[in-house]
Amino acid sequence: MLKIEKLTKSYDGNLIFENFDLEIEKNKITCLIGKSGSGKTTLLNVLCGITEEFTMEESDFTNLSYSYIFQEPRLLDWYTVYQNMKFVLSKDEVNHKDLKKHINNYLKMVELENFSHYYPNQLSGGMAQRVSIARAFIKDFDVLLMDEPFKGLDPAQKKQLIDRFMDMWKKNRKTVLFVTHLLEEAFYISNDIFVLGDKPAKIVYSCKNVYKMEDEEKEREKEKIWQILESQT
Amino acid sequence: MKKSLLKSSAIVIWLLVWHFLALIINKELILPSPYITFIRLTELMKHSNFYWALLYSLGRIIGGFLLAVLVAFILGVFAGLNETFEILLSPFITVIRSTPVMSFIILAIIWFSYNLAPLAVNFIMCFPPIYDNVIKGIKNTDRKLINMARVYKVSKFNVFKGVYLGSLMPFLSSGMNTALGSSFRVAVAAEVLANPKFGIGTKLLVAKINLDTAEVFAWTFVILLLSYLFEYIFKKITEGKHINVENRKTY
Repeated sequence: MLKIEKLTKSYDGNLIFENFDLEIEKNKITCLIGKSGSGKTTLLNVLCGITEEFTMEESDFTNLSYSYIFQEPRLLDWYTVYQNMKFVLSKDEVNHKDLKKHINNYLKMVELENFSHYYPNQLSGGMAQRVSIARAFIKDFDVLLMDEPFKGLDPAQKKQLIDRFMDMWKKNRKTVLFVTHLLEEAFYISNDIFVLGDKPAKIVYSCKNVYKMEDEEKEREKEKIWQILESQT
Repeated sequence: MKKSLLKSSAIVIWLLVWHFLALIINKELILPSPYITFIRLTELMKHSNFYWALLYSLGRIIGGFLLAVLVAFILGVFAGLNETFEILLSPFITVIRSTPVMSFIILAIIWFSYNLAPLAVNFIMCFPPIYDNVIKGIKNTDRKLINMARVYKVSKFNVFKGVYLGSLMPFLSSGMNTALGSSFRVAVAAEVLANPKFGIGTKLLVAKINLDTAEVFAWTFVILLLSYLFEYIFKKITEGKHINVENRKTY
């Protein structure tokens, strides 16, 4: 288990978290679902160190290594796909004997092995996001954070991207903390789902072992979470 | 194709206007015709002095420009990353920006040798646009990319090389372009006043003293040609390297 205890964080005078606790299972995909502005992204940023001003009593998340799939691909436009992949690798990883092969392997997993010399502005939005998924997995991470990575894609692209992601995840089964506001996505890929609500934010509902549920039970849970989300202002 | 034809026609039209004006005025001392200017230029090109003047002037122009690029880049990066440093430098930059070129030329002649003064003035005039643009480039760097690099624990050097340098490149090239444009005017003006042994400016001054207007025109033509050539080369170097702003698309 990985946990944080008593996280307090405010932004622009608004208290976003106050004594917030969270416990997620290692080597599973945990989803945080909540309406926009519920503090989902802030939480991810606190965990990986992008956001620095907060107080927390205990955290198992410090000193861990992270990969992060952001809402936007966040690729360097002046680097090729290959160079973008190489950019996140540390010195030891770059000295890899078969660096080229290594990077191409990961690009192959997202079906982009023929695009390694392309610049991001020559790729479609979906392709660029696939590069960012490959970039996340090529790093040796402890926790993978994902902030609505499938947003803004058409349904076919989204399905393809999620499937690619699942294929890659199944290879290493590392801890994933995934943030979304879409129920379908959450139920499709997560093991556990936590609903983030109220202000300051707290876990208002949790739904565990989703992958073991029968379809009927899943639908009931979806309906319940949908109603909770609707009741949030 | 059509555009280049139009451009060539425009040049021909203005050459004709110049030719007819010279015919009307009919005084070589005031306005020599394009033909006379051309003849004078070919005469000048027969002497080795022509090439020495060219070489020395180009040395001052390129030397001052490259020195400005180097210093403005280093200081600009520090100022862009550190506001205290930027504020500390700001009075100095404001003084450079608002002081008339002539004051700098005179001061440079007092402080440096006649040979070096034009280079120094060129350096000081090229500095502000490059410096300003480097700061702008650093400040415009997308925070999201910096955060991404932080999460992946990319080394500081690689963050600078990969994130900052990449995003400031279009700014740097635009600053360099502006500086290059003024470089020729400033360096030659400084040479006219400093009067070094070799230099286009010196040649212009001598031509003026000798009331040789055709030679003034010939040298002016040489300066224009060189300036155009350098801007063209610079454009070719920066083009197609994915550093132009218009090539960018942000995700």
